[in-house]
Amino acid sequence: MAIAEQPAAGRVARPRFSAGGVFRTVRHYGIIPGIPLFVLVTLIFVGAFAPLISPHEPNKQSLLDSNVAPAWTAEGTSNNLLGTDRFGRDQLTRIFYGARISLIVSFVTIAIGGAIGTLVGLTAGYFGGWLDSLLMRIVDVFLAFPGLLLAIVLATVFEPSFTIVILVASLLIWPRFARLVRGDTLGIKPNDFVTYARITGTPTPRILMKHIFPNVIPTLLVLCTWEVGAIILLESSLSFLGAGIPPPNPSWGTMVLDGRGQLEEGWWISLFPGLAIMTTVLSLNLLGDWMRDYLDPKLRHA
Amino acid sequence: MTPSNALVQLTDVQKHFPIHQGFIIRKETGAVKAVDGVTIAIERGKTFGLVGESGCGKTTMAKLILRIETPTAGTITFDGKDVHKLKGSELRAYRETVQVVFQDPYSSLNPRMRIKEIIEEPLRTDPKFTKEQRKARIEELLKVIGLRPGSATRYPHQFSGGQRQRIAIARALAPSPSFIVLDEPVSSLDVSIRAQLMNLLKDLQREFHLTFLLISHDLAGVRYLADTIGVMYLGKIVESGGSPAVYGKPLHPYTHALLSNAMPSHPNAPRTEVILTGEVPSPINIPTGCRFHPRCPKVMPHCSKIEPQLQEAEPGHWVACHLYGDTNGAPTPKETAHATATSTAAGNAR
Repeated sequence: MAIAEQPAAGRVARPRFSAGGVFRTVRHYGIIPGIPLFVLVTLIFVGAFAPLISPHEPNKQSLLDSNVAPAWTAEGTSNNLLGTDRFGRDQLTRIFYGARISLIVSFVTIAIGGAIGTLVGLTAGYFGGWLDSLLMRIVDVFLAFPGLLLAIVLATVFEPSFTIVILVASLLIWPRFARLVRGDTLGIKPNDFVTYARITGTPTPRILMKHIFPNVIPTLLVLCTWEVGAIILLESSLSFLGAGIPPPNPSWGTMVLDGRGQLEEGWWISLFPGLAIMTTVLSLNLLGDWMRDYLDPKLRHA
Repeated sequence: MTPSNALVQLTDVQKHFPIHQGFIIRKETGAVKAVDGVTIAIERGKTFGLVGESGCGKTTMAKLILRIETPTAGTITFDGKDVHKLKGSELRAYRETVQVVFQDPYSSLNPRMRIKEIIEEPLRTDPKFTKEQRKARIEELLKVIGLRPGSATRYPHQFSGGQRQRIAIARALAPSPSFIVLDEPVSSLDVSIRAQLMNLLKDLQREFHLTFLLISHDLAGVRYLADTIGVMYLGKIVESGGSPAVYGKPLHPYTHALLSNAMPSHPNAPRTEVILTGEVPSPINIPTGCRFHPRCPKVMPHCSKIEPQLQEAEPGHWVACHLYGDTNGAPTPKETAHATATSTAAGNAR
């Protein structure tokens, strides 16, 4: 940004990737975004390539190898680095595949819930009046939903499934997007560039998409980051309660549930998926916090 | 007031914003009279300077002309056609012929659009232009306003306030308009940049035969560009006339006050300072009679009772004030007795 703001100054061409470049980047942005970003890139990599990098099959049971301790303990073997659960399934493999499930659920939910919420927020904020009041009251109603309860009810009525989890998460997430996007829209609308677009007779959908939406994107990025964390947590909670991703799919929540009954003899069964949940959500929250500050023009120029 | 070559003609234009009160049963309890009966004519190829304090309705006038607001009463015609009744191709033509430059160049350019996209905006709806023609037009315009051609792919934040305002001017010029509303175009810029920009506007006007409506609170700045001046106070024109007449011999006490507070051309130039007391009254409760009377240094007793009408004090120089002329605020028969009594009293007092 600092370079871009001085168009007159001649820019020195420098190689794109170098140790010095990395050092400068870290010095410029600080260390905070690096660590969570690294965790998340690893997570996405692991999720995307789970079948290639996993040492075992995620759902292959082997009762002879049940409750094997992690490799570095006295009873552990190098065959199962993080040990096995009571069905003898490899923990590491299941954590890799669990990352995949978390990612799929959160991206689909963000795509559905985020899109609906953004659309509602843009509409309410731009048109205002009774439409705004109506839409925001609906948002209020949805925000008052007890999410876990809703999910458990739905999972009892229907069979627990991916669809139910995504549906519940989307229902819980869209009002938050709607509320935030509406607020931003209200702030952007009085700008003269929007007025100018209206004067020149620009069609309203184009005003929303070309003039308002691009200016909401920074806020949306921050919210998406936080919400992915919230969705992963929700999915894990639902799975832990038996209302989420149905077994034998290796959801992190289900894995914590599996180890719950045998914490004394097999502490690793619950611990590692639990750590995975915590690291992921913590990284997302930290990254979201950092992005919020970084994208805030008031703080950035200070 | 109605020269034959008027390009834009406003006739008794009013804009009242209703005020609603009440929680469930909402009642209209009053109105903000932003523009309260304005009649002006803007001559072809000339600059009309509209001057007044903030909140006097200048910007609302601009919005009425630009069709963002519809007038409560009165008509605005452009080239003889009622602006607010345009439809279809006529409306599209109007939107290109009439352009605007806003006060704040930080708010008027979308920060997420490249300069070329910004300048292209008003051309997009015009089927006359092909993509290549639009591109050529953008380059041409950048040259006209004095920015390097490479600027087209940059974003607004990479430019200074003055450069941004030039970009806003380029955008306004893009569809080859004949009339541009300049809403305080230089007041948010550094003083050093202002003269530059005003010269640019002057050159552009000559080159492209433009008509300007220049809105400003800075009477001295307007002098440089405007051929005709209209002084506005609380939604009404209180004085209007040719620029030399208004500056050389201001008639209305309000114009006096505005001019006396402007920077003199020379520090030793003789001047009498008129400092207005009190605040601008709220446009919700406009004072009775002359709307300037609570702050007027030359107030007379009947000023608070009879509203002065705009009248030609000298050829081409109009003023709405009881100080000038006998016909001013000619009392209606009903009020005659009372009004005569008060005006005699005023005469004696003096």
